Amino acid sequence: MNPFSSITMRTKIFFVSGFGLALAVGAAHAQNPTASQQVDDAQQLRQLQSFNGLPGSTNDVPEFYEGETSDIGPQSVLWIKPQRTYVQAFADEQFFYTDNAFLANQGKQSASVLISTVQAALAPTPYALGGGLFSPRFGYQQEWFSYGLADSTTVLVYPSLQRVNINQFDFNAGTVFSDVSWSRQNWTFTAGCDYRRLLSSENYDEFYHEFVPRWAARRDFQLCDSVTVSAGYEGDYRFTESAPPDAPNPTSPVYPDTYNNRTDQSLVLFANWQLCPHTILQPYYRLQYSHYTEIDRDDWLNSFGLVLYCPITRQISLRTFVTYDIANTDGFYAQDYNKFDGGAGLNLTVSF
Amino acid sequence: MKTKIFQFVALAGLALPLRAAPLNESTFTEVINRVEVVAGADKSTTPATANEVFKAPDLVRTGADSRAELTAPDQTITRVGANAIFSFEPTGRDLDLEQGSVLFHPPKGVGGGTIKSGGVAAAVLGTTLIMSATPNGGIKATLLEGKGRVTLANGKSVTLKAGQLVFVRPGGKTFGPVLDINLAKLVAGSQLVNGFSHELSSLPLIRQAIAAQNAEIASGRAVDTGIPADHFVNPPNRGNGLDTMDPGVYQVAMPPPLTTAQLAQLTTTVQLPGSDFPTVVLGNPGGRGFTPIGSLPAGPARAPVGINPIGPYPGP
Repeated sequence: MNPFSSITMRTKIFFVSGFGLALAVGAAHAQNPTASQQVDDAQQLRQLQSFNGLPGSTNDVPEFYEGETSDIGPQSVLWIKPQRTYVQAFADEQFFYTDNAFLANQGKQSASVLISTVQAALAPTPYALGGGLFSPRFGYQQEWFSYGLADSTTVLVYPSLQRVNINQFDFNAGTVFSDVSWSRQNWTFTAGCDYRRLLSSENYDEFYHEFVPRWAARRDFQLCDSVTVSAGYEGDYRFTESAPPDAPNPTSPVYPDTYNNRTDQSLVLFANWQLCPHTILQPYYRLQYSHYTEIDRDDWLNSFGLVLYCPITRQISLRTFVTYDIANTDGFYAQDYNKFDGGAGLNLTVSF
Repeated sequence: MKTKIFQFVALAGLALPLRAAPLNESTFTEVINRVEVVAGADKSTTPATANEVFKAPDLVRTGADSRAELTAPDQTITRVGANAIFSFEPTGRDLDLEQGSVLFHPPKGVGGGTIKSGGVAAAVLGTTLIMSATPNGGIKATLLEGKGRVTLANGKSVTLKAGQLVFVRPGGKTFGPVLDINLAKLVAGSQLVNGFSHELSSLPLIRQAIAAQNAEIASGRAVDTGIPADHFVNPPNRGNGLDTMDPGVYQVAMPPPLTTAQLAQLTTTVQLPGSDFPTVVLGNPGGRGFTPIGSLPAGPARAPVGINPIGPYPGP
């Protein structure tokens, strides 16, 4: 019997998220990589690198005028190592409206959605390696997807053929992740693997799991003091297992448990525009191609988004966002769809 | 230069003493190569000479490979580098630097001073600062010893300690990053520190700062090369909203409503032995075992059997 069965699922979500936030606040003396800090640090890094010139150049601060170095003296930049941290804790809440919770082509179902995330990882401060920075991570992430908190939407369900509250579809995802990143100049390369399970929120029964080797490369461009643009490629292969559609019709196709196996190839473009010290605008675009290797299915996803980050402290940031997706598929049990999401989120990240 | 948009103020202390003597004259204690005094009244130019008293509103102009040291009655040291244009203001303890570099060291207790570059100014109190300026607004401030706070007139500020440098790019409006500079290298190669016949009075304090920094380097906490590690940039999260999760994974938990064609694949009608009516057999949609459905399938008004005979069939 599930030990949490005596309390409601939503109570669990808020309890766990609140506990995560409290843990993180308790360690708030440490440094952290919030989105806003990432933007700030990236800008400073690129600013420094832009002065340093091309890869392999010296790390001296340039002269503002001829003869300055003779007067002042050579200005060789020192690298002051930060206090080393080993653990990164992360808590995030998003509450938003979606006009298409089931990613449907026809009969789109709107809903309010709460996504609660807590994450903890062994993520030591990056090590200098090969002229760049090497950053390993190993951790666990738990996400809860909760529907209809602000409404009482009902959905007709197969095969019970009954109308049920949309929160019957609440689920959660547990992910063990591990990756290594190596960053040099404006390039970042990442390789890792994830093991993810999807569980029902009612009784934590697993209905899907996947093992995902993944890889990525990203190039950052500093356009000016306040604007950076990044372009990246992300790839993965998903070894999946879940119950396939099991049709009594003898003419229906037979699917294996691994029918969701696929490879994803994505192009990601995003920009960070620091409007003022406490406001960062981030437009982004993702083009993703998914090829299913066990069945005849190929998907294309175009995802557009706009996020406005408002850092409150170096640990805590608020954000508001809108996203719009256009997806096309030739899969039999999938559908073309478009979807709009809009909402807000609160993030807290600390390292210690 | 007088029309600069912003001001640049470096404060080595919080306030100047109320009774500080004005700093509007000094004596040339050393002159190297071509150093001229431009009279404020008629703009006439005369070569500077040692022991000559220099007063506001006259200008000091240095040539290439030239420099000068001025010592005020309160022992405030001003060393002017090559190709610089510099003057005292008639009142207060302000220095104007139109271009070039100056090293400024007011001893503790005398009231500090302010270095201005057009509309840009830097003030110090009891520490040693090198400031350089370009005619197009570039500013660089390097603290050789002590602590200081650097503030732009627009409110932006940074705190400097010994061995740190901050700059505003020519034509820029904001600070660059505060950089830690190898102080030993800087001082060893600095004409403003070493290019005179006698030792700078604050050199012992500067040596203390160098020793402290060398200890940091020896301990491995500071490395004289590379990129700051805390500037590492993590990859962004996948997205916001439902894009938090890959849509292919999300669809396993939240599958789209079954279409008529999909229902036709998942259901079939059979005639069971002993039954007067055909019976609808419902297949399993996979995933978590249930899925939304747009509309009820056609079929007889009786309970379904089969893989998932859940509840009575309500009919279309």
